[in-house]
Order: sequence, then C-alpha cells, then structure tokens
Amino acid sequence: MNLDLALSTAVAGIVSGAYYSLLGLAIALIYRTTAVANFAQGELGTFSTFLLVLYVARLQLSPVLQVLLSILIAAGISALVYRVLLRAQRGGDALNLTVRTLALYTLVHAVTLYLWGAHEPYTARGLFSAGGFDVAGFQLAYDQLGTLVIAAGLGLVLFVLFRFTRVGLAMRSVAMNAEVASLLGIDVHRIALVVWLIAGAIGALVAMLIAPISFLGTDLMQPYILKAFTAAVLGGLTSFPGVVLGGLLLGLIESFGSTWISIHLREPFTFAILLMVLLFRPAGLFGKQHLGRV
Amino acid sequence: MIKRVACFAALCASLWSGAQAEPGVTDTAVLLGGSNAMTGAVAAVCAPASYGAKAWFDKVNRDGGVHGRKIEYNVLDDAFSAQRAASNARRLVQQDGVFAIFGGCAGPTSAAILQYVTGQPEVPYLFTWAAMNELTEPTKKNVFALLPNYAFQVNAMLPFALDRASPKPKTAGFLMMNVPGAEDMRKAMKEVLAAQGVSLVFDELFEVNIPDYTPYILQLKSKNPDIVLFGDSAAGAAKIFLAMKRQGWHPKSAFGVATLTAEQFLDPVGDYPDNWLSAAGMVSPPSAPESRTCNEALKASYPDQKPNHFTMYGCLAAMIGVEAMNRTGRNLTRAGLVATLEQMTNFETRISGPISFSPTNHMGTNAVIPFGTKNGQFVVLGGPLKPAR
Repeated sequence: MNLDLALSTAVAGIVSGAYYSLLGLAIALIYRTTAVANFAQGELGTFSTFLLVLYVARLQLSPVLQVLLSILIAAGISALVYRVLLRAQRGGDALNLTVRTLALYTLVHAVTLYLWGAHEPYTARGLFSAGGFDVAGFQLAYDQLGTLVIAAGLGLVLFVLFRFTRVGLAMRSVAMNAEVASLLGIDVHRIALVVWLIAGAIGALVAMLIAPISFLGTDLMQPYILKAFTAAVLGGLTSFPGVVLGGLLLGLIESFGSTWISIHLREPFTFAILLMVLLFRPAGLFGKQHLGRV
Repeated sequence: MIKRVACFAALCASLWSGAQAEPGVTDTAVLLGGSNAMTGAVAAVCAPASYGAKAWFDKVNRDGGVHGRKIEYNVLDDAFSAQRAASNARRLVQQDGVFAIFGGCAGPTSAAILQYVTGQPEVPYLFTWAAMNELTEPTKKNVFALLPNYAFQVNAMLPFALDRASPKPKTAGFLMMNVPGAEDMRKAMKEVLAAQGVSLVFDELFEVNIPDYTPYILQLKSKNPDIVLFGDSAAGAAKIFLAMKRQGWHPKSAFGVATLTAEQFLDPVGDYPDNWLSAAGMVSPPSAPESRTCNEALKASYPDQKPNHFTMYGCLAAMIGVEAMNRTGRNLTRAGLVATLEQMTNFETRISGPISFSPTNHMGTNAVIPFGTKNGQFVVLGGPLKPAR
C-alpha cells in the first residue's frame, strides 16, 4: 500500500469513525442516564434531515442557520419523545423501555417513508463545498475536513459540559448512579430530558453531515446506527471517551481491513469485532467492569 | 320444440361467451396492472417510468382510447422489495384480473415478477425497465422487453467508448452492483477488452445500496485504470462519481450502463463527467425535439414531474403497448396481443430506434444510443450502435 492510499484510507476511516463516535456518544448518554438503548436514534436524525431539506431549507436563512434551526427542532422532538414515550409511562423495566424505542424506530421509519418515500433519494445541500485539496500528495475533501472539525469541536464542547458545568456534573452523577444522584437532590428526570435533547441534536447533526455525500433517503442512518452501537459497546458504555475511541477504532479497522484484506469484509469485520468484544471484554475496551457485593 | 332447443343453445352460447370474457377487458375499458418502486431506495429513479406510461395512456384516453376502450393503469408499490413485487403481481392477476402486467423497473423486482408470470403463461408481462437476460432468453411466450441486457449494452457500446477515449485505454476497471445480469455483463466486458488488447486491473461487484463507496474508489484510484465500466442505479452511480470527485481522481474515460443516461444520475454530478463518460442510452433525452409529445403528455398528467430518462422510457413502453392493442383490434385478447407483438416489425416511435419483435425474439430493441455529457447536459454522440457480434 502506497503512502497516498494509506493516508486516504486513514482519513476515510477517521471520518466514518467520527460518525460512529458521535452517534455512539448519543446512545451511551441516553443509556447511562435512562438505561435505554435508543434504537430510534438514527431514524430521528433522518426525520430531522428531511425537515431540513424539504422545509427549513426554504426559509431565507444561511445554510448554517438552517442546520442549526433543524438541530434545535431535532432536539425538541427528541425531548418530546422522552416526555411522551418514556417518562410519562415509565412503569416498565429497561427492556420494556428499549422495546419502546424499537417500536418508535419502526414508527418513525414508516412515517418518513409515507411522507417522503415517493421521491427519495433527495439531494441534500452540504455545508461544505464539493471537491478538496492536496495535502502531502493525497486528496482531502472539504466535507471530510469539515466533518473532522465539527466532530472535534463537538467533542470539546461535550468535554467542557461534562467537566466544568453543574449540569454536566449532574449528568455524570446520574450516569454513575441515578438513585444516589436523586438522593443528593439532583432532578434525575430533568437531567434525562437534557440528555435526550443533546442526543437528539447529535443524531440530527450526524445525519445532516452524512446526507450530502450519501443522498437523503428513508434508510439514511440504518447502516450507521448498528455501527454506532458497535462503537459504544467497543469503547465501553460506561466511558464516554471510550465510546469516542471505540468509534474511531472501528472506523479505522473497517477502512484498513477493507483496503488491505477485502472490500467485501467491511461489514463482517464490524460485527465480528462486536461479537468478540461482547465475548471477551463485555465491559468494552475502555469500560470498567462493575463489581457488586453479594 | 326445435325452436326451444335452438333458443336454449343460443342462451348457453351467450353465457359461455360471457364466462370466457378476456380478463381486464370490458366494452369500455382495458385494465393494465403494474408493480413499481413508488417508494423506497430507487423510487426517485423508477417511479417516473410509471408516470411516463400513465401520462401517455391518459393522452390516448383523451383522444378516444383504444378502439373505444379507455386504458386504466393500476400501479402497486413494491418499494423495491422482490417479495412485495411478487405478491403485487399475484394480486393484479388473481384479484384485480388485469389484462396484462405492464411496466415496472429494476432487476430484483422484475425477476420476482418474471418468476410468477412464468407460471402464468397466458398473462402478458410487458416492457419492464430491467436489463436482464432472463426476460427474453430463452423466449417466453408472454414476456416482452425493451431494455437491452447489460451484455448487449457492453457489446454495442464498449468498443465505441474505447475508440472515443484518447489515448486509447490500455487498462480497465469494472465496478458493478451485484444484480441479475451482472455476471453476463462481466463476461461480455472481458471478451471485448481481450479483443481490444486492454487488460483488466480492477474487477469488483458490490452489494446494492451500500452507503459509502470510498473504499472502492480508493482501490480504483490506487490501480488507476484508463477506463472504468460502471454499473449501478442512477443514484448509486451519482454517489460513485461524487466519491471520485471527493478523492480527486477519475479515470481518463468511463463507460456506463443505461442508468447513467438518467437525469437522476446527472443532476447531482453536474458537468463533472463532461467529455470522459460514454453511456448506453435506449431512448431519446427529454431535451431532444422528438421527445416533445411525451413531455407534453407528462405535463398534462403530472405537471410537477420533471421529464427524464425514465418518464421517456415509460412513454416509449406505453406507445408500443397502445400500438399493439390498436393493431390487435376491437376483439382484444391476451393471445391476440402476443401474436400482434410477435408480428411487429420496425415500428417507429421516433424516440428510440425501430422496435421489432418476432416469435423467437421478444427483445424489441436492437441498438443503443451513445450518450455523453456536455456542460452538465446529456448529448447524443452518434447514431444507434449495434453489437459487432
């Protein structure tokens, strides 16, 4: 493999990994605070991207403002889902709540298909120009660079939020032990609502980054959501930095694996990794095994 | 007594003849059915084929119909699911009692319908947009097709694409989605390349609807073939071309199957393939003067639908279907329609090459139209091309 191909493969892997990391982070956030594996994360992102492309894009706003407005709408929808579907009728265990998100996944997909399926796929205008530029002999596309900058920026914002703000501290407390956090006076439901808001916004942002290069269809996020779960499990659902690393690692492994070994093994690689991690490191590569007294 | 027996016999004969009425045909209407991806991954590409056909039928109906019968065209959505396509075909024949299954789009769904109609040899299955050998080889009494299969497209068009490229390509790549007919295309491509002394340096089939083509493009880029043969849906091919643009690489020339003559491919990629893409077309582009009647019919029925390759194909299929029903006459039967089609020779549609069928050849098209692009618009590069062999 020559250097040009190796660098291009690495960048492609890191960009894919950034998508997986961000989505995985949204999944881990919700999982840690509400014990729900949100299978509808991707579909909600797809739904919001349709709103952006078909409605918000008609407003006389700059593309950046259109995306920001759509992300706000997505966050609102996500919070509404939490209020209506999970909190209002909480009375179920984690499995019950997770199955509700599966039902929501099917519902949102069916509604999206019904509303907009007839004319898919749509061309979504990207935030970045087409084409790219030469870096040390290899081509870096503007959207790849933009995705990396946005992912890094968002990672930094989340780091600051978790580390240096009261709400972030409360989120971490709820993530560690919701019951204890509640006894300490933290409004767990309010924190969960904030988490769903943030996760909804992240999911929408990822979908809006993917849509311009993949075209907008009702199945836009389906290939990515399973990878995001894999990234979350790989990194360890208990560790937010672990999820980010898990996503990047997954992106790089599948990118180099498909270039070095076989393109057709890209998907099998992913799920073989998921199986192996679940078998040999159930807490993930960077997560901690919980020990309980007996 | 004799009179009574005669009356009874006449009554029986009339009842018998009523019981034997042709499915889907009444005094005032003929019912055609179809299954197409009106929603789902290929809807934007495939659904316009049904709109184009329906618009032409509407025009014919406005002009009085076919021997006084209005054409009703009922299209069920299969969402690009082979299972749903088969079930739609079953419903159209067994429940709705259509006269024929007309139109449709895409290999996997057409293959599913073909499997069903193979067991219903009396039901005509006409002109689905699918480049599959299986539709017409071997000839099936009730199945007629218009879109030349991939192997035909390669045999007719690839020598032209190789000649057009300057300097003449020495190496080639092949990137094709894994659909029925792909292996035949690969075989035909290898034969043409071998005959022209071009070596194949990249050869990959990929699964339908993959989200990211980057790994394929990176590998293609590393092999750097002079010419690449692309076979994908229109939207998929657009993704491939955009991925090449992102990687800052494209081959010196490219050959595309008929999907790359669709606006759903060209609109997103704009003028990027100007001067280096040659694709196998089978119907005039909507911008051509001869396409005007189809465009007007489309506008009358579907004012919001932009004319494109697939609306043109739908229009072409409907034109041929209407012509066949007209020639069959007032006594419209399925067997009569099949017989009429088998006698159709050099029917001039003006938007395609002449259409001919025979009892042993149910593929109506015997040439492809070479397409290229200029300033982000399709241009016809020359006269119809036939395979050398």
